[in-house]
Amino acid sequence: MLHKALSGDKNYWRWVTFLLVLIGLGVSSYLWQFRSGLTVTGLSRDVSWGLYIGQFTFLVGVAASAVMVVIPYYLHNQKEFGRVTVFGEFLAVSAVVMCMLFIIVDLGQPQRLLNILRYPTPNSVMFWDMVVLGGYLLLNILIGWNMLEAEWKDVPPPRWVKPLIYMSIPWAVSIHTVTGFLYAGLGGRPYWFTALTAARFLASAFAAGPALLIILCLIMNRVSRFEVDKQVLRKLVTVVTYAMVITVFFVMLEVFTCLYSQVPGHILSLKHLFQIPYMWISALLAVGALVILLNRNSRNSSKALIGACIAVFVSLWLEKGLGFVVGGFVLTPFERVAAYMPTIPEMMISIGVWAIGLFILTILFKVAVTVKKESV
Amino acid sequence: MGLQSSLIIVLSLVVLAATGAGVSAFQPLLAVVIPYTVLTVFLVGLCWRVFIWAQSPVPFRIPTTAGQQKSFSWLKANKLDNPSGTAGVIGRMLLEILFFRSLFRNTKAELRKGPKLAYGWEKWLWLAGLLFHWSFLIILIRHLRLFVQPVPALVRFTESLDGFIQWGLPTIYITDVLMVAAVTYLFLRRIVIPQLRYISLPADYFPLLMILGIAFSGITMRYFLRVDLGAVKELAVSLAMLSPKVPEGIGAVFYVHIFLVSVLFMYFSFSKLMHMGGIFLSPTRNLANNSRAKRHINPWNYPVDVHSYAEYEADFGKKMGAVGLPLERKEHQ
Repeated sequence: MLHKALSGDKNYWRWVTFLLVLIGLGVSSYLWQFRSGLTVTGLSRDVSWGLYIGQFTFLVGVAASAVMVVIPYYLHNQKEFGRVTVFGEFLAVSAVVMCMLFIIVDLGQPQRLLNILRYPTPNSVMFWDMVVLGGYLLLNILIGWNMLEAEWKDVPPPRWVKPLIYMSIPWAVSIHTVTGFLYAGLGGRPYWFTALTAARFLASAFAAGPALLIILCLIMNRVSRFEVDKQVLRKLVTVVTYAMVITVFFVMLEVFTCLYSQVPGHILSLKHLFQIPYMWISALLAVGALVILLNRNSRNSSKALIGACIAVFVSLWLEKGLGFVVGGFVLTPFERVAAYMPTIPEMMISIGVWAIGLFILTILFKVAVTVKKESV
Repeated sequence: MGLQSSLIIVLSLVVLAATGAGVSAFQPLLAVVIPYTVLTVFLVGLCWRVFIWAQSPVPFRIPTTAGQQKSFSWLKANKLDNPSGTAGVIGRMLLEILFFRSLFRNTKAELRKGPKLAYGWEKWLWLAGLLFHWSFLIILIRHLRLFVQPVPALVRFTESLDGFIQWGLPTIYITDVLMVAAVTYLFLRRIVIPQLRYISLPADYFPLLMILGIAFSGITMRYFLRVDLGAVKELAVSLAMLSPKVPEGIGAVFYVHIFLVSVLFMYFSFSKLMHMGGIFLSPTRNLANNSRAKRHINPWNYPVDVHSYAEYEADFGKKMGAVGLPLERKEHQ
């Protein structure tokens, strides 16, 4: 099936070449980091989780959101979702690969990568994160590939895939919950130290992921005339809307608890966070997106819908990929604000990882679109 | 049957080398005489077979085509899968040699209920083959460090990438793991899949088992029954300098390793392993498909008296014109 990715029009190859160039830049920046160590990044003793871990956290959410197209199809028998489930699964595959790469580039000694398997520490959340992410990647590759191959061959999928699909649903929830636990268990970081972290993560993931999937569906329609049922898009928009409302609601809950209780550390962290300009951009985008999404007329216009989806995605990316991790970390337990600014190599490496993810996504989506168009 | 005999041969080779290694009189034989002889046979055999193959005439263009041929300008030609010129052929050969392009097409037919015939992409053979060959190449490059002093930068770079995961001391090499895994797969598929087992011959099992034996003896030497590496390097450099000297006390595993390598190289030019040279000479891959654009004349055609249409028209044009038959050239009228 992979050979379907070997033929495409000029724009396809331009896009692939563009990604390969970005990957090359990222890899060469990484070789630099590998040679000199994490000193080429803006990370420091006080801020050891930065851009990389922020992106990781955000992308775990994108990966988990595949479940939002799997549940309607397999649990609620919404047949029209059958056309997009595989795209959700492939999106999850590329997102998890990016997650893992972001972890690897964040390691000062990547040579010791396998130590997590050699010296398993079940009392560490990181160990469990490795377990759930690895498992989720495997599940989605197996499910997505086998379902698509069955469609290509025009035969029923292998029987063992079904149980894996049901398993993948709670598994998706688990990956983001465990990622939430990475933060929620740290008593010295007031912004993270709340039982709501994992729930907030899931809510924002189920907004950002489907928003991205809607954007991708519209792009696929544009570049390859692959029609996704309007019904499906409308239902995905509903998911995005609910999830976005819940996300904003959760943030408000945090703000209330923090401001009403007047616990100094918590107030300080919140105050600090909203001194960062992009947090305001994020908030404005969130409000703007909600205005479009909650209004039926604007929601049904495809231009406004794209705008809303991009707004949701960017808003949550700023909030989670930059604000939550970095904003929460720069405030040290001594209530001082440590300086952190990503350096150029750090950004180049991050762009490189994104490019690898998009490359995998492009290849998998290309295969899936071709198979689906041929099998109709 | 082929499996048992191959296994017995490989095991007896191991035993032979292990026994010989213990006797100091045999060490120069194993470490110097046999390798030199084998290298000579290998080089001469390789050249000879390539020479023979190169001599066989290929009067016509017989490439396999897997894409649209070059045709009208508005038909998109597939330059790599149906090359029309040298550049395309080079590209095609590179894809074939570096990425096993044609094996990538491998499909598998399945008979399903219905009855229904379904074709699926059979990727495992391609994947295992690719991993095995690339790992083997990288391992060979790494071995250069034994023959050259100072060790070239390329070799050191390859080593550092290969040993990226610093697990154990000496650190584990990724290609070692990949190669053993891939060869094991290639071996097991011959045993497990009944159809493949049926068509497998000793000539299929033997090289696989030899390669596994070489890999295992190498790994044993590196991680378990360590040998004196300084002495090995001394020997290798002396072999490369053509002034062989066998140092004392290298360790028996080394002799097993070098003997198995020798036997494999000895066997090389007489066996299917010659696909290493043959792939470059396959006329179904290395010819441009330009039969329609260019006339290829069989060089050893005996002369045939032909009366071409042009000549025919020149001879009978007047008569043809007279009865109103259309002519290609006006002046024949």
